[in-house]
Order: sequence, then structure tokens, then C-alpha cells
Amino acid sequence: MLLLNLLLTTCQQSTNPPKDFSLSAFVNRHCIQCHQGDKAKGSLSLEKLDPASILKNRAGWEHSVERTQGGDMPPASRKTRPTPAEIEAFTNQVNAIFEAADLKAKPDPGLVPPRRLNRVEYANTLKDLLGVDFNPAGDFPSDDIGHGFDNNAETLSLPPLLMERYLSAAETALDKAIQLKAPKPAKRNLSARYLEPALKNPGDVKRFRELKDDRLFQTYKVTETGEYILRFKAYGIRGGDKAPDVAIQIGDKRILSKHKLEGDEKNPQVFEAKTTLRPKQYQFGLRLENPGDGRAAMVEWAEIEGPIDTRPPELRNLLAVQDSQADAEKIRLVLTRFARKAWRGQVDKQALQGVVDLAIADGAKRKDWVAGAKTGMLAILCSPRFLFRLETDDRPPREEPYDLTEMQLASRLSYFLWSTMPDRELVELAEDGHLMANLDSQIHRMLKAEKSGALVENFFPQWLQIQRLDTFQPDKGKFPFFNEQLRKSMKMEAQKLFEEIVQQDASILNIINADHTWLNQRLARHYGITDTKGNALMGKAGKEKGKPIEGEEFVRVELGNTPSRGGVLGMAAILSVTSNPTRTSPVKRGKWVLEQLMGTPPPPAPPNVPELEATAKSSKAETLRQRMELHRSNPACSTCHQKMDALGFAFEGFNALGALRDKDEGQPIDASGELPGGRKVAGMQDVRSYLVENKDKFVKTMAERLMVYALGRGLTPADRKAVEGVVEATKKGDYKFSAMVKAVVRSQPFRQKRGRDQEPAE
Amino acid sequence: MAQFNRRLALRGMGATIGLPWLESLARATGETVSAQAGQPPVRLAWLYVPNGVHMPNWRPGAEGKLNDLPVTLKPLESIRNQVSVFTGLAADKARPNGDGPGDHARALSAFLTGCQARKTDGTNISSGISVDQVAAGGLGHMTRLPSLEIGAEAGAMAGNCDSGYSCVYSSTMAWRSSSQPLPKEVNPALVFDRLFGATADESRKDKDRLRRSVLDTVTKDATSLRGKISTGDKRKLDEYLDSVRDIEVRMARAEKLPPPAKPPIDRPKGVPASYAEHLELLTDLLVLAFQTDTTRVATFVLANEGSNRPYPWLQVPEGHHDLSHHGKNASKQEKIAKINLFHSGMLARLGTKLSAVREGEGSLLDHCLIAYGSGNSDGDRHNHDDLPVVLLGGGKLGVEGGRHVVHPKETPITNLWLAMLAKAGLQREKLGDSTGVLKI
Repeated sequence: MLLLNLLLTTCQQSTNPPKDFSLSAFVNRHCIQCHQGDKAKGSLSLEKLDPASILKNRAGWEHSVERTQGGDMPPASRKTRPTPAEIEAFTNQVNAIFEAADLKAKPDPGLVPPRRLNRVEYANTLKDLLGVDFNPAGDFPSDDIGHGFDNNAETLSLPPLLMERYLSAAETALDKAIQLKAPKPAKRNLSARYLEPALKNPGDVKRFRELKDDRLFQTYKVTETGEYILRFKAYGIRGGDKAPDVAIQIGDKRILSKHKLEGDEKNPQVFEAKTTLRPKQYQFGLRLENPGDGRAAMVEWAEIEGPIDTRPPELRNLLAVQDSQADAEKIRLVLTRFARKAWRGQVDKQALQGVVDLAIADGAKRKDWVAGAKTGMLAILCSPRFLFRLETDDRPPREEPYDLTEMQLASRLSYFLWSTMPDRELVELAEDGHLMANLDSQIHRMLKAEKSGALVENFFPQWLQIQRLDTFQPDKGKFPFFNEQLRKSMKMEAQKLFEEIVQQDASILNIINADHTWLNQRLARHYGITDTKGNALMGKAGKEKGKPIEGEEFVRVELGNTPSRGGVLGMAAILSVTSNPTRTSPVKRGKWVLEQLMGTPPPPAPPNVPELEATAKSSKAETLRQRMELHRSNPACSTCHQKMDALGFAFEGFNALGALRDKDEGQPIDASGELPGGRKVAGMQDVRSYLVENKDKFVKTMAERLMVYALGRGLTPADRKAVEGVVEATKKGDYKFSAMVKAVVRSQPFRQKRGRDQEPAE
Repeated sequence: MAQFNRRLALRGMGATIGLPWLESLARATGETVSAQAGQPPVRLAWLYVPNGVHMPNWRPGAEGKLNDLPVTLKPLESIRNQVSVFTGLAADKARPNGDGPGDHARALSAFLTGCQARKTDGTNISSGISVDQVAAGGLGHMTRLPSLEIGAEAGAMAGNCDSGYSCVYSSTMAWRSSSQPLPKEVNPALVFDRLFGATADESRKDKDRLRRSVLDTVTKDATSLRGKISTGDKRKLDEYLDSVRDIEVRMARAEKLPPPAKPPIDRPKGVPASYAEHLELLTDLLVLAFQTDTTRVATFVLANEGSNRPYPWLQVPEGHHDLSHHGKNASKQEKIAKINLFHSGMLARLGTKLSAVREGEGSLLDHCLIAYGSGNSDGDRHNHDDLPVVLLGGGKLGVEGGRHVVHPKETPITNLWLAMLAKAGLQREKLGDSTGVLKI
């Protein structure tokens, strides 16, 4: 892991690479005196400089490169010191040897330990399983970050505190989903005097209403499908010696049941019919079957009750059983079904049996099979098979890397794009072994679905560090207008951009350069924009006017007239998280661009050197730029700072909250800067053009970040080939987001797992 | 690394568990009651402040008796005779030792462990067991909670936090083992639940019984699963099994302990918007945790190492970390001193509250050892020797307070931790880079 990091921390593209750099001359001059032979310092001998020998002692060389870069080596006591350019050439040359070797190396899908569900994944999964809408993970301790993301298998640990929360979260969720005492079904009882056909004077009917021809009915709107009971209370008046016949009806035609009506005024009868009704308006009534011969029905009331089963549909599905089954059978059926979903298609018979035994025993003790099943579900939700994404199966392990099962792939895919368990369609495809064959169409379907919001909310903000906005506290004295709504609006603007990329498959290049954005009134005002054509408050006359931007709602804004915005570089969210509470930080901004967009983070500051010395008092330096330039006169800092600061200064036209400005501390803004490689820039727009011209760097950086997120682990040199594949496929796919996702999913590390030969030894 | 054996601790439990120190819990008067003839128990806590301190305002003028407290420690005036200031202690494992930059991450991770954090952005996180967890191993079986981990800032939300070190290192003080950092509870409402949530009614007992049978079932499965998976995967499953076991032990213990205290305060509503109120609330909960003998071991991270929080109500609108690189600029140093003074105020709040609770023949503070300090000395230099450290309490534990003690340079701070353990009856020979037991 160290290695990739190291490769990335090179300050690449030196301003003046020495033309005739020789590795052996460098080593002989600076290293060999201490690092040779049996008594080599730190047991590190650097005598042999052919690629094979360097690769053989890769760890040692990596370490020495890192320490040379960090300024620890050669030790300060030595008189001759390499120039920054020489150090860079040394680093590049050694790294080139590693890189060449990595591209030729045997494929290795890498080691991914069982991944515990993180907070987001846990909440989403539980919601999909039980249909309960609450956030069970609100109380969980925050997940630690590894390699930039909170879904890193290694860093997702399971301390006792969290296990305890898992228990209570599952209990609460099950309590919400499975109410052991269902509420009573709804009932509507209507006195006969109010039945239709309507009476002029309903009050005339004392208790019983006479039905001597046709029917009496009530109109009732059913809103939920289910079983209903239609019930009447009435007695019959005989005609001759014959009791009347009545029928319970739906509408005018459909007869549900027939009854011979006996009884008398003192003993009216209650009779009913049961039927399944769908949402619709119904007339349900009572028809006299034999009118005209003196027979009549005396009706007291009509009643409709239902749906009889008041449990929510999710619960009914969860607990669907045959009444005729024995309790133990019901429990087994319900738990088998539940475990298949909760354990993501990988049900171990023995494990399930343990849960079923527990549930049957508990159900018997409490004389309630549903209570027993609920206990079983609790065990299923507390099992490592639910809490971790295990990729175990019964297949014999192979020596070489081998494909995941389709079910395992479905699970990886679903957690990658949705942060939740696979849905029915994915599971069915995987069960039939058709997922690989339908991979592309499934990826498109998944990205379009609402659930891909998980990627919008989890991947992009973590990659671009927008989450830091949540804790950003700008100085109230300097920025009195900053408030929570502005903070939210900043986040929303970025989110809208990511949403378009994910859900509408827009080009990923929109991240660095988009010709549009989304603003509400608050943020538009912050940017000095008034309308949807991006016109400025005091805009020049003659430009096409758009609709004014008003209110809280975000509208799409064309930026043709506003070159200072477009893409993340002009977003307040980014410009704020790369600032200090009281001022801008060109260093942080430069570092952010180098690291997050160009994939070439500067090496960390050498130890014991303060980030920014305060020289304001001791010198006449007035602006931040002048103070920083003084600071950079220290040679230990200058190499890398030159890169960060020079790049960061290009953003000085934006204040610490990303609003445009033309003065800083009373001095006019100077937004000139310099790019790695020495090209001069005159502001953010030039940096943006540079990124567009060098988009391969950006695409590679994004591909790496997306791989880390998808795999839940840091990248290693062995992943280099896969990353290159993703970059190529993205280019061929017109930079569409789906092209990148498809390539990541099809990459070897995503689709395969390690063979036995690659497992670390016990 | 001496790994304490929880199972051993569990076996020993039967013998001691019948004799919890408290018979009834805190009364409205804030008094705790000694049930047994024995001494009140020793409580241990460690509090951490990030980014070092402004040493000139921290260090007392002379060695020996503390007649005048230095500026930063002035808030402790009313309990001065319970204050020991230590000079000369070092956290060597916070230094690069070949690992390059990352002093903030290492400062916190080495503070209680005396171990060098493995430099990683996520893979194979490793430090060492921390002193509080050694204490929890020895004392934890006597209370409802073996230890309490609290803090006012959650772990960072993005990126690595310090020069290639995972954020775990700069936000975690307590390490249960070299590979298992213990996250801290930030929300006072949840701290409250942990301390007092377990009601003793019958429904709770039923629920616990059910939980235990559920945990039994999953343990069996996980154990058999463990046999089937690759070596690399076993580690994660072991973490799971350990945590499950921990809950089982705690439930078994809870059955034998008297019912939890009725807390004298209402459940907090959540995380207060104001940082100061947040710290106050956590401090008060810590006092309650000790007063009710719900736990005897605690760690409290006042702010994560490298925290860049501004303190606008102190007229410090700049971020703490940015300021700490003061380059000897006097106005920045002054602001840092203000932040230091504010944090010391919290320590004073803790100390005075503990000293107001009568216990045995003294106060609760007399039976506490509260260490407070930072793994960085001067934030600008990132030096890890000459650390700012004070110890509060111990009046009835033979600690002679009201002193400024100067130790030889480079004395490992872990030596002090061993001394604290010893006062709690836990004789340990080694912790991380310790070289002996300090006399306190």
C-alpha cells in the first residue's frame, strides 16, 4: 500500500529535470558511503543498481526513496546534498522500474477482508429487508475512513459498542416491522334509515327499515386490497307461511350469499358474507329475492369491516404461510425466506438450522410462532453473515484467481452502486446465472434508479472532500452572512452536478468543466448571478437574459456568460473546504487540485517545519501572497510549495467562501500562478483549461478513486493494469460515467477473488 | 505487548462480583455511600487536548511545592493541593522514528499506548493496547461498564487526516488491542444511555435472556464459520466474536450487580450546538459515571489531534491547528494560550465537581487519578518531549499533590501510566515503551 502512495507522492514534472541524470552517479555520491556491504546502515545495501536487484529489494528501495523525498536522507550531517531536481529524477527513475514490473506482473485481484456494512449500508439494507422507514444507524459510532472512504474493509472494525448498537437496532427495526398485536380492522356501520335509495325523512324510520322490493345499499370506497366482511342485521316478515329470501350483493348483479330471513322484531338476525375487494368504489347491499307476495325484510343496519388482515403488505409478505402448516414449519419457511435475502443469497444450511432451532424453541415457549420467528430474524440480523459481506462459498479454493459467484457479484455490484443489498431482479438473474450476460443493461438500470443516489451522496463528496463542509466554521466577523442555509446550498450545487453525472449518464468531464450549474437565489446572490443565463448583477448590456433565480429551489443555470463558474473549481463548496476559517489557503487549494483532480499529491511537509511562518510582523510583506513567498524562501519547503502555492494562487480571485473578490486586505488581487511544469496561469479559468487539455490525468485519478470505493481497499501496484484498462474504456466510452462504472465492474479485481496461492500465510 | 486476558478476568469474576463497592447509589445530596468496610475504589481517567500548548504559560516556575499556578492552570486554584504538574515526560513513539511526517496522528495514538502507530491510510491499522484498556482489564469486571470512551469530536469524515495516517489515529485515544481502536461516544444522550439506560425491570431481564440466546446462536455459527474462511478473513471474525463475548460478559455481570443508579439529571437532548456546552455536558456525565460507580476507567478526547476548530467566543476565529503553527508570532501564541486556558477550565470543572462529592473519608477526587495533557508539546515544533501533563486527585491514594515534579528528560510518559495503574492495585511491569514506574 505504501508503494502506490509513494508513486503518487512524487512531485512529478520537475521544472528543470537534469538532462544527464545517472542513477549510479546519484547513489555513489549520496548514498553508497553508508549503504553498502554487510555493515550497510539500516541493513540497506544500495550497491546493485540493475532493475532485477532493485526489484528484489523493493521494500528497501521504496523506503529510501520516501526518506530521500522527505528530506531525511541523506542525513543533514552530510555536506553534499542533492538538489530538489536530482531527488525528483532519482525518484522517477526508481519508480519507473517498479512501474514497468507491475504492468508485467501476474494478475492479483487483491485481498479484501470481509467488509462490515457501514452506517449507510446497514440502514439501507435494513430498510430494504423490512420496509421500515427509520434510520437505525443514527446512534452508531462513525465509521473510520481508510484510503479516503468510509467503506474500507480494513478500517471498518467492530468494537463492542457497535455490536451492542447492532443488537438494539435490529430489535427496534423488528419491533417496528412485526407488530405482534395487529390493530383491529376498520368497520363502518350504517343505520338502515341512511341506506340508499335515500329517504326524504330518515327520522321516520325508528329502528327497522322495510325492504319489500328491489334492494337497500350503501356506497363505500375501498382503498386497500384485502378481505372484507359485509354484514347486516335484519328480520323477516313472512308472506303466507314463507320466510323471505335475501341476498348480499356487490353492485346490482353480483351475489355473494343468500340467506333465509327468520326472526322477529325482538330477535333480529345478523348475517354476513366475506369477499376480497380491490381499491374501487362499491355499492354493497341487500336484495329481497321474492318481492310482491307480502314477504319483506326489516333491516336495522349494514356494516362493512376490513381489510381483515391489517398488517402492512411488507409484513404480510414476510410472514406469508399456510394456515394449515404446523408452527415449526411456518417458522422454518419464514426464516428460510428471510435468511436468503438478509444473507444475500448465501444461505448456509447449518447456520440456518441453528437459527430455526432457536426460533422454534422460543415460539413454543411463548406459544406464538410469530414471536419465535421474530427471535430467529433477530439472530439472522446479528449474524456475521448479515453484518459482513462475506464471500464464502462451497466451491473448492483454486490456486489461481477465480471468478466470484454470480450472487457474490450481484452483492458487490449492488453495494457499489446502491450501498444496499441486491434487489429482486439482480438476485433472480444471479440465481439463474445470467448476471454476467446482462451486466451492462443492469448497470444502466441501476444507475438510473433512485437508489444510485447512494453513489452521489457517498462517493463524490468523500472523494472531493466536500463532507468537510459540514464542520467548516468560517469566521463570523469576516463572513457575517454565512449561515446554515448557505452551507446547505453550497452542498446542493455540487450534489446536483454529481446527480446529473450518475443518473443521466453525463460526461465525467463536467466535474472539471461544465457549461452549466444549479443555483438557488441564495447561492446565485453569493456568486453575483441574477438569472438562468448566468448574467451578473451588473452584467454588460446586450447579453441574452434568462429567468430570474428566485427562492430556495435550485434551477439550472447556463454559464456561457459566466466563465468564473462551471465545474468544481468554481464551486463555493470546494473553494470553502480548501480555506481556513479567516482566510483563503492557496496551499490547500493547490494541494487539493494536485491531489484530488490530478492524482499527484505533493509529498507531506518535512517534519518540524511549520506550515506557514508568520512573517508579517518582521517584514513589510502585506498580502498573504507576499508572506507566503517569503516563507518559501526556505529551501526545505520550496520544491513542493512552489507547486502547491503557485497553483493555489490562481484561485485568489475567490474569497474563503468562494465569492468573487478583487481585493484582499486592501490590496488588489493578483491571481497569477504557475502550473506544474512551469506554465503561467492568470486565474482559475486557466487551471481549468489546463485540466481539460490534460484530462487523462484527471480521468486516471477518478478511476483510481472509484476503484478504491468499489473494492473497499487501497490500490496496490498490481492494480495498475486494471486502472489503465478503466481509463482506456472511459475514453472510448466518450467519458460517460457509465463507461467508467462498467469498466470498473468488469475489471479483474472487482470480478475475481484471490486464489489460494495468493493468500497470506497463517 | 502484554495482552490482558479477558477470559481470565471473567473467570475471576465470580469471586469478586458479589462485592460491588456501592450499595445504594448517589443520593440527591450528591453523596456516595460506602457499603463495605473497605476503601472506596480507585477511578482512573485520561483527558487529551490536541496541538500541544503554549508552554511558557503552562510550566510552573520552579520545581517543588506549587505556590503559584502558572497562567494556563489558574482555573485549578481551588483544588491546587490536588494538582501535580509533571515536566520532562516524553512520548518517543510519537516521533517519526523513520516514518516521516504525521506528528498529530502519532501524538494521540502513542499517548496512552507508548507504541509506534503503523503508518497506513487504512490497511493494517496498528498501535498498541492503551493504558485505560489495561486498567479496564483489571478493574472492569467490578462495574457495569468496564470503561467509558468519550470525546467532543467525531472521527474525521474524509481523507487521511495527517500525512498518510488514517484518521483513526488522530481521533482515537483508547486501543483495546494493537489492531482495535475503540471509537469514542460523542453524543451526550448516548453516553447517558450507556451509563443509565439499562433498566432493571422484568422486561429488561426477559430481553437480556433473549439476547443471550440469540448471541449464543450466532456465536456458534461464527465459530464454525471461522474454521471455513481464509486466514486473512479470520481477523475480522475474531473482532466480531470478541465483541459478542464482551456483551455477554457485561450482561452476565449486570445480573449480579445492583440495579443501575437513578441518574440525578435528565437525559441530554443530543449534541449541544455550542462546543463549550458539549464539553461541560460530557464532563458532568463523567463525574456521574464515577460517582455512581458505573465505571472506574475513562478516556476523554476534548478535541481530535490536529483539530482545526476555531474558538470564536474566545475571540479566536482562526483554526486551532493553523494557529498552533505560530512561528513564534506573539499574537498567535496568545490565542493558543486562550484555547489552552479554556480547556483547563474544563479540567477544573471536572476536578471541582469530583471534589464536591464526599466519599469515604474524603472526596471522590481523593480517590480519582485524572491525567490531562497532550502528546505534542509545542504545536509549532511538533516536539514530543517536555509534554504538558498534569495529574489531578489521589489525595487518599498517597499522591502528594500541589507539586511541580521535574523528571529527567526523555522519561517515557508510559512510566506515569504504570504508576497510575499501580495506585489502582494493578502492578504492571511494562506498557509500550515504558522503562519503569514513576513515583507519584
